[in-house]
Amino acid sequence: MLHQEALDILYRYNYEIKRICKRFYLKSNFEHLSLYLIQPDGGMVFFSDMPSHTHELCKHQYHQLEGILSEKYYKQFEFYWWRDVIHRPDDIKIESIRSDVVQLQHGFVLVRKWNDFHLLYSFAKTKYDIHFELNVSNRLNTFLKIGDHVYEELRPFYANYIEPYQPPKIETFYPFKGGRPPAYYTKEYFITHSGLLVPEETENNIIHFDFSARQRQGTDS
Amino acid sequence: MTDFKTLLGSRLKAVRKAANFKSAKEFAEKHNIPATTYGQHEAGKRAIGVETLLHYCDALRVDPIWLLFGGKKPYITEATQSSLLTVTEDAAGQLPTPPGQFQMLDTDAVATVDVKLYNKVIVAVFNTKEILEISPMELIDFSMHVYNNVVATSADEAAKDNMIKLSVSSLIRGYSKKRQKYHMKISEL
Repeated sequence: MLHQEALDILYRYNYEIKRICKRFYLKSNFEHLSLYLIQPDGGMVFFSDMPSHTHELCKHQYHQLEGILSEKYYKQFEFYWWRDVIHRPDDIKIESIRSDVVQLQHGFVLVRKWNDFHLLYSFAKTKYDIHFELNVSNRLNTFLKIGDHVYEELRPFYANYIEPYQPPKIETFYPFKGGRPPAYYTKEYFITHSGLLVPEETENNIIHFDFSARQRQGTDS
Repeated sequence: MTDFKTLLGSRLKAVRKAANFKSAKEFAEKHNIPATTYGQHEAGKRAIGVETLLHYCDALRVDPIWLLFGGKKPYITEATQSSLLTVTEDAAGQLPTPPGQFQMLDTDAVATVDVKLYNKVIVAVFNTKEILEISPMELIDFSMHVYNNVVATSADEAAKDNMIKLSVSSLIRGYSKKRQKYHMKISEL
């Protein structure tokens, strides 16, 4: 469920979010970033560098119908394109907010599951770019790092709205793996939930491709 | 009625001449701008994007607000004020507009602007100038961002006023934090 101050929160940090995000626009070739932060109890708080888009979704209660915010997607996939999600009945209205009101396209979402929080990093462009989707596919870890960084900058603000929860602190970068979002934990979560397995930390900037199976079979790659 | 692009182009031409560039081509070549594009901007045949407009203002040392809307003080500094040539009647003064609205430039299209809302945003944001000692360019940039993200909503007037108020509070709070060091560098990406 949406936080009661959700619409105000979008504009309350307007300058901070714009200042943080615009450093990345040119280098990483995107023009929009929203953070959809979902607590363990399902509560939602949103931050966006284009608050009008998220405002219109929330004001008309479309966030309940919006595919990219559906558990069906963010609990099952670490990455998905906006165009691949299905909205419940009001598809046309939700799409028209994106395409007509704020003119967003090429949108995609990266999902972090951390301490039972789901952190959704939603990126998009305002201009058509034939190379953008390939660029995204080749640089998913870059976008993940951007999302992690922006989340960490906004975490102190986020903490104000989710008592009694404490927002997770991302101290280690875990590269993209694909499939169901892998669960990551802070040390504090591990201590309070003893018995849960903590995944080994991995190198933070390389995607490893395992060709060993093909080599054992003796086939060419 | 002379349209907005033509009037803006006339002002651009006037300050270009005032800066001692005899031809549009000369100015365009010196500032690495395609001559055809710049010529169309002066002729009012092509819309000017926000970043390009600010680039022209920076190159010609002219107030962007004046370049957009006209008025009495085109130049940022007193020194360049004195070099202003007499502009034509079409380029000086206020724009003839329908009540409440006028056209504004966007990156790819011309949109209709809500003058009342735009004025509210400008006044609210620029009132922070003395508190924050922030550059006019950054204030203009943030004003446009706030305006675009308020006008695009279906909120009522009171809600829009609240959005502006929250955004300005964010500017005051956030600008002071801008001076702190950041842990993350873009080069690490």
